[in-house]
Amino acid sequence: MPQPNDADLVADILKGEQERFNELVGRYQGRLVNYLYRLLRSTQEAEDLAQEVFFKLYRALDRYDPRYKFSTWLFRVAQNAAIDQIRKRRLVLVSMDRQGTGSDDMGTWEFPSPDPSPYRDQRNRERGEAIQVAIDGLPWDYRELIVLRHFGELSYDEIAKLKEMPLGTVKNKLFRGRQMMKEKLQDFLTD
Amino acid sequence: MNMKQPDHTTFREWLYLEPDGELKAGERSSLQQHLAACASCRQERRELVAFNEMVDESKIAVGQDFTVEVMTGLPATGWETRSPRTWLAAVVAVLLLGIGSALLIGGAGQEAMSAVPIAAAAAVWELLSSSALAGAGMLAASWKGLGIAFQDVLGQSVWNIVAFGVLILCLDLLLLRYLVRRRTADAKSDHNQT
Repeated sequence: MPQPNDADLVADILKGEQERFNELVGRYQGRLVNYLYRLLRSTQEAEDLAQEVFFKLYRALDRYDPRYKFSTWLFRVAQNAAIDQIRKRRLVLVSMDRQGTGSDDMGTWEFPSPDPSPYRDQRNRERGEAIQVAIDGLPWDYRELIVLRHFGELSYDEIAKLKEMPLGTVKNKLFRGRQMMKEKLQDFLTD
Repeated sequence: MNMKQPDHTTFREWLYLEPDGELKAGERSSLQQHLAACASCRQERRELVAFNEMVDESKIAVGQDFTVEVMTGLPATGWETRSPRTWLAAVVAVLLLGIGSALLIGGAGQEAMSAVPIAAAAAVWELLSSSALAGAGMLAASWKGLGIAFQDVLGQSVWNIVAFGVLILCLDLLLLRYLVRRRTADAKSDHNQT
């Protein structure tokens, strides 16, 4: 039996089959948590925020327009939630050291996460951390696109719609972003 | 018409588009031909494959209870209460309660069974009217209690009445501000969705 698409699932949920929301959660939880983890660098925060995102979507489900992709809507909500979270963190950081410039540049928010590494073995830990360093080294607009493509697993077209960018710009930025990352990960790629 | 042959830079870009399924069939075959002849592109492709694998391996696993936690924490929503299934469940519950009450009151005998539908309707009516009466009583009592409390406090001086008026005005303004903000947020959210 073919799997119902996202819009059909939403329609069923709105008709009263609320329990079917777990199918939507199952479809997107991995992609969403990984996307948020790469932006927030904390597994706990990523899972908590992913839950919040699902709650927000559930509350607003009757406003979902099936002409648009559910995934684009979900990642737009997730992106806004992640940016809010990063800004909140930054406020805390600025008020802690009182050195903040007040700039709104999302590239300056980073600080080490206190979370333990989510990887079990040494090799994966090293590689996972190297990936994170390479992502963090990207300018914010490249980083967003790389994370949406590789961890949110959105297609180029979905990213273009989400970011309201021409498809050509998305392709170009992803190409450049990956090249920048590859340079930083060279030691791991030529083994 | 001869199609212009892509240059080396274009093939480089195509190398990145290929694993994402973003190339057309013709472009894929041109790329394969170019790869057969270009050692640096073959090297780039090997690195790209290793890069993609490394990224995939770096993905984290989601907690086992994640879905359950989301499903048990789902908030109450406006659309849920408007759902026909919600109303149907309530109506069925009331009917079952009524029939159960009628059976209990009327006994399980044959005579009682013939009067079950009427007794059920009467029991439901009794249940609803007593609930409404109890609710009205509670409401009246609350209002009366509030009235006495206000009379006690406000009746002390004119200033108390003025302060109360200002308080009510402030609460109204707060409520108005909340409604306006919520409306703006809803409009923004609708806009974002599209």
